[in-house]
Amino acid sequence: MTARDAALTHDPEAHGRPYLRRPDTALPFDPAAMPRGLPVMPDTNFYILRLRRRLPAAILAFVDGREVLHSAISLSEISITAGLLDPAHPGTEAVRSPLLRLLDEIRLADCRAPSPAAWSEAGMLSGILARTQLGLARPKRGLSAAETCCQLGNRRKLLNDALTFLTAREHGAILLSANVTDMDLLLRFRPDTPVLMYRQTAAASA
Amino acid sequence: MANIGTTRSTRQAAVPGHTAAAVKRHPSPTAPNRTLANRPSAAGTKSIARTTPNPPRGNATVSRALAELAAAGKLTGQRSEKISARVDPGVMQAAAARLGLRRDDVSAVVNAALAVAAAPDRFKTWLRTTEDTLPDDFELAI
Repeated sequence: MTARDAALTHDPEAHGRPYLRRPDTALPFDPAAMPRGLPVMPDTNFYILRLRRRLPAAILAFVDGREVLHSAISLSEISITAGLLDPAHPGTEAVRSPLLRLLDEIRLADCRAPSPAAWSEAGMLSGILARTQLGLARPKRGLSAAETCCQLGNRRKLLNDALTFLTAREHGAILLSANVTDMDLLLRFRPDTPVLMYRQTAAASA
Repeated sequence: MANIGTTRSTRQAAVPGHTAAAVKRHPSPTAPNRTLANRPSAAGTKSIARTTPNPPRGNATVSRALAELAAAGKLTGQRSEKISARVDPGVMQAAAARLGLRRDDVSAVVNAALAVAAAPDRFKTWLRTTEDTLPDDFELAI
């Protein structure tokens, strides 16, 4: 198998139109419908929502009964945030400390990174989605500097979503995500990936 | 790597038990380098492992597991229960190798393996109990 083979798991020629968002009833929101025995893998927002007391109790209970694997993509998104905070800012400690304490509870032995094949596939997948779904394929010469930066940043976010999704798939874990819109799209391409969606609670719950 | 105590503040991580936050820490210049080549002798390991509160020194995962079980009040400090079991010798051999113990020190291998299996998942404990919060206007960097 070559990197081209991995990338062409999804043929860009076959995807020209955007997918319509499916109703919630067509999406995997039911914890009871999840396969037994599989570990879970939270996406980045899961950790952040826990720290903001916005995780539903049913999701917490679901995780409690399963082995937990952690995505290296999520760890990088948390650690870049901790590194970015200005040490001289008075509010930094209140944000950075909880993030580092969270990372301190995660053993690297429980973490999983995407394979080179998954990176290749995720690149193609996010490129297709950026073009067909999100209007992120605009030529640079027609954009302002700020718009160019924004487009690059949004592509990167999409790539990270695809990487997290494929990492969970590679390791046979149920991906936990409140990112319903993007997961709906990714499931169009890899419908056999176990994903449990949820919506954050409005008020403090955990 | 220092010996691992039974409180959260004294936890240390070696390669098998590395945490995500510990990766960037610089190793202590006084910390012994625990590799297969310089693990304590089997005899030393055996004598240390006789009482459960003192973890076997060869493997940080076992040490951490025993420390967390001790913190949770699960250890009795005695090896008083005698068990007889049939196991796959290949599994026994692999477990001894992974745990840094001698294959013929059956009690040490079984105790260490059971400790790793029984130790609470630190992340799940954090998930259930953390009092940390982030402000509502918190945003991830990417």
